[in-house]
Amino acid sequence: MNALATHPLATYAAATHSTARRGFRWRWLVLTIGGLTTLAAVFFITLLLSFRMGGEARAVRHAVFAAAPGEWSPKIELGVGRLPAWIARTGFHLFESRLNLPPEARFGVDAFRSADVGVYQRRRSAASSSPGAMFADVDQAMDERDWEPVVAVQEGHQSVRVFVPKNVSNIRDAQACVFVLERDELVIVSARLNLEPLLELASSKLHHLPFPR
Amino acid sequence: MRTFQRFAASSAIALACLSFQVFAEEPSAGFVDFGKFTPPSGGGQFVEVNVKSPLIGMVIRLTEKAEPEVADLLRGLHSVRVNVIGLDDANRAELGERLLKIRAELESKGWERIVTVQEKGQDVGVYLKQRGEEAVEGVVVTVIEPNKEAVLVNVVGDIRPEKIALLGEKFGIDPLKKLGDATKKKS
Repeated sequence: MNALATHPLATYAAATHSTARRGFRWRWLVLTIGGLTTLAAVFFITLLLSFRMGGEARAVRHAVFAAAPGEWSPKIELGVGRLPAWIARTGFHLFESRLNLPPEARFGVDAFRSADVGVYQRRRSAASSSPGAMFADVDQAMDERDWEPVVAVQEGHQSVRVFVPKNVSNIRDAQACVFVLERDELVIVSARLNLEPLLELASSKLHHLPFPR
Repeated sequence: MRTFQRFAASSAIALACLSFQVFAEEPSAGFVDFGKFTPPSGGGQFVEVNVKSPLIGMVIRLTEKAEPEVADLLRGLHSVRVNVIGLDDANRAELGERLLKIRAELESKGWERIVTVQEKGQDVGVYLKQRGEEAVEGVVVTVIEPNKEAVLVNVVGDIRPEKIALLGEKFGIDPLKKLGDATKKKS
């Protein structure tokens, strides 16, 4: 028995098994660290991308810039996607008691899902399309994204357009995109809301108001 | 295997054609296509509202608890379209002709003119498309005020006259009350 234990082959096998176990542990360690790093990277990239303007707002911006050419520069351009909105809602609920905010704020926070805001100024303008042609271009761009116009208003130098998705039906996930163009200033707001909390807020307020008769 | 593949492909094509058939909606009898309008070149007023059934359905769900009568009226609607076009020297003649053409088309398609008002430079026409004696499938309102604006409204759906009058009374909206009374008298 002792002879077998000290046999060179047995010694070699024992050494190899020990090395293999260490190698196995290292592999798991590398995989775990790699996996966690990848998850963290995906999370932060998703979070960073969540602050870009959404597709609908960009489509409107692109169509308006094409129909009203000139040197447009952004004054404000910000998107708050679903992930940061969820983080904000979660943080709000965790620290709600410490923040001295009115109760209506809770409804607003609960309703918020995502939003994009863009404000642009045109410095130098080239010949623009007619308002009708501009509306048509923007409608076409949004139609390609399955959105349709519900309201269009034009008066003087001001144009306003409101779009909603063609299949809008879910009050927990309501979306709308509004653009306002006045001379050389363009404002685009696109938002996604859960309307139920807002409805609850409106109902609680309406019961205190006299209805017109 | 080839036979199965052919069978699967032809079934998929047949299903696609069937679903296209099912989902290809025919416009309702109460729908009127006014065509496209463009904003007046002189910067006058232009308003276009085009609300279809998915959005109406969402509004119904939002209002049914707080305002059940409003939700009940909206429940029958398929679409609401409103056009307000400011009139100036460039578009007055063209829009006037277009409105007259729309009115002639409505009358030729069996729409009934139930309200005619011509006063203070305003020419108002209200048309109904009825289904039997009890229900209205569509309402069209045309208003021309040559020095101001042209207005076209098309409401499509199952519109009950008593509900229109009820809404007019509840909210104190005279035109709705008059429209409801006029449609009640007609039916």
